[in-house]
Amino acid sequence: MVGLAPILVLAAACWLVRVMFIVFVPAERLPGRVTAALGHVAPAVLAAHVSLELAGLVPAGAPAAGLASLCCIAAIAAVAYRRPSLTVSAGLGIASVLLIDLVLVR
Amino acid sequence: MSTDGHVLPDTGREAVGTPGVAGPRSDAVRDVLAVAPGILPFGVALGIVIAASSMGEGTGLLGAPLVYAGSAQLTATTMFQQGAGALAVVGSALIVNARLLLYGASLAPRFAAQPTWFRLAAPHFIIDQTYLSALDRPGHAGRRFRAYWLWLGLGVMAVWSAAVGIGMLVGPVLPPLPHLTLAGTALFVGMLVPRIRDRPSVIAAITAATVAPLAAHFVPPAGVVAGAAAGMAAALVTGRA
Repeated sequence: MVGLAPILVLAAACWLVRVMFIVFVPAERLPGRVTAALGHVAPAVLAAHVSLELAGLVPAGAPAAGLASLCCIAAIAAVAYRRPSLTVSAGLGIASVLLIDLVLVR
Repeated sequence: MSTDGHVLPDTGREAVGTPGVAGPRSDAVRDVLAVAPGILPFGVALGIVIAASSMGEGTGLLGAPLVYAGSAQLTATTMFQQGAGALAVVGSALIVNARLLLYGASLAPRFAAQPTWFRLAAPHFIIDQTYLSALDRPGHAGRRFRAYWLWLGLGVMAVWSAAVGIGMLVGPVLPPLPHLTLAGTALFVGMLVPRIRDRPSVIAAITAATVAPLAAHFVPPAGVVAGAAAGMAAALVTGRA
């Protein structure tokens, strides 16, 4: 059984990471290049997330489900391009999960 | 985007939805409702993992709002289950969460003129979804930002904690859903696509998407932050070329 102490330590460490450049090291003291690069955080982090998730969705043992997952994500990206809406994207994601896990994989 | 050394808010909301000109509370509620469908499956998935692990249910449930970082808590839960030491667990979870450093630095100008209590406590609400939502609400500053951020943070935290709790409750009776995290990926795709709108953002996305899996192959917890750092650097170079 894992006690509460490691979770509290983890929570404190996560808080420290979050406040680092807000409280302890003011962001205006960061070099100009770093500050400029921060403008590109959103697409970079999101693309890294999506790429890693897609890489994990294609397991060696279930190529059909992996291919279906990739097709679903491509379709969701196309819809997001034509009609940007987080609710629609997430809804399509849930529908994809149900389709793949309850219909295709069975 | 950044122009003269200051980080200006990303205005992706023009493509995503309503600009941040309404009341802070209604904007926050709207944003919570927009991201909730993507957060719920991830929270449920984490709850299922916690329920199947040796972590106590109370500890797992408390961890949801205390840690408030799904990837880090999932990493920690999995590593504890595998018998890893506390130092290794916290270190790995911090690497997974290193992108929050970037989010904090990016949001720092909006926290700069806030009261001390807010600057100390409110960054706890920084996660992917709240950061991106706030970027899309550049109209909220000062007291309005404070109200918006608190409503947004508490709302998303409530959704997240409830999702983890639901996962712990229903996990044992659910049919196997190995692709449950696909719903969260779909939310990230929905956030990403409208933000790819110029050459630097395209370069940032392509570079990050290429580097992240390569980095994760060698150091699994470092995939996102390594990809993000490479993408930001490539975009910076491209923007100056």
